[in-house]
Amino acid sequence: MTRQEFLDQVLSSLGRLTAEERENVRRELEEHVEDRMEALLEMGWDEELAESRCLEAMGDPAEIGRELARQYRGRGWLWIGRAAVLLTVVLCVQALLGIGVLFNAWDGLVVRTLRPQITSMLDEVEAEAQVDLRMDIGSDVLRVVRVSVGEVENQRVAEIAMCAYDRWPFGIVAHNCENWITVEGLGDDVRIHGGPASRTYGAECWQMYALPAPEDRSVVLTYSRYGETASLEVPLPEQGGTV
Amino acid sequence: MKKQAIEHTRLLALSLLAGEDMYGYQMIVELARRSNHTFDMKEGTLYPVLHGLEQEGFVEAYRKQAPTGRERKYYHLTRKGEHALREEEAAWKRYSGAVNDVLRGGAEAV
Repeated sequence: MTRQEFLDQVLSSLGRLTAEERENVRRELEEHVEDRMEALLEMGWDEELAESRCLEAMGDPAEIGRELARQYRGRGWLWIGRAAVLLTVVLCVQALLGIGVLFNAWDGLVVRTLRPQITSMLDEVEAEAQVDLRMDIGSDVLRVVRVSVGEVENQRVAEIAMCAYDRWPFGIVAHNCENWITVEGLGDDVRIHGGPASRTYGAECWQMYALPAPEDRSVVLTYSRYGETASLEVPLPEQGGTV
Repeated sequence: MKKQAIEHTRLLALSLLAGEDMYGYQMIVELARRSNHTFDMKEGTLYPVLHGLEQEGFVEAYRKQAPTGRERKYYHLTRKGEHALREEEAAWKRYSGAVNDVLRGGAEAV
């Protein structure tokens, strides 16, 4: 057997390997034979004899090939396993998107940390202030983000834009929680534009109105539900000023 | 028996690499020297063992110029490989210790 035949026979079992890996195996074995040959030649061996001695010392090429192939066997399953994990993750994300969990969590996050956009219903704005006042209402948090004074249908009102979100991220806000909030001086007839500005399971935003006397400097929001009460004083913006 | 021979080769290869990074032929020479030619294995069977260790992440291979001036594929023992070596070493010591105990018992009985 020549060196070439030996190598060919080892490689014939390695169909599973990539071309590059096969080339690496060939190179490595060839180098081994080269080193062994050199040692024998230095000892004064005849070249032909040295090669056959070398290949004999290497062992059975069929067995080496078989054993090498065995080391790379599990890899097909490895890739199938990775693909399965990836597919599972994709399906889980899709499922979460499908039932809106991620959108709810996102809404909760925006209302908690950023400045949510709540449309003003005032026909004319006298004064407006961006604020960030919070109070606990049950398991949720009420956050006042804007207070304006202006006119609606020729009546002077204070508009308070607010949101509610669960205390815990990913939590769900109590449904219709605006029903448990009252504003001092809120007249039934002033609830001009009914319904919340936006509502998801993660966050609710809405406006409330008060009829302040000209000397009033603030209005008070009161929460009352299941015997729990809380109140929050909301300062009205300075006349003509935008803070 | 062959399976056991491979297990032994694994342990020997790991412990050789614990000292320094080596290439295949160098490991064979070093093994023969250290064992006083007791381990007369077929040299080619070292490579399936090395490639298996590489697949398991116990060793890493890289190409570097050997002292002979030619480039060779060197193997380096990884952290994971060091850990595996310690475990296999302990298992081997338990096993050889047990064999010794049995042999000693036999000698005393004679």
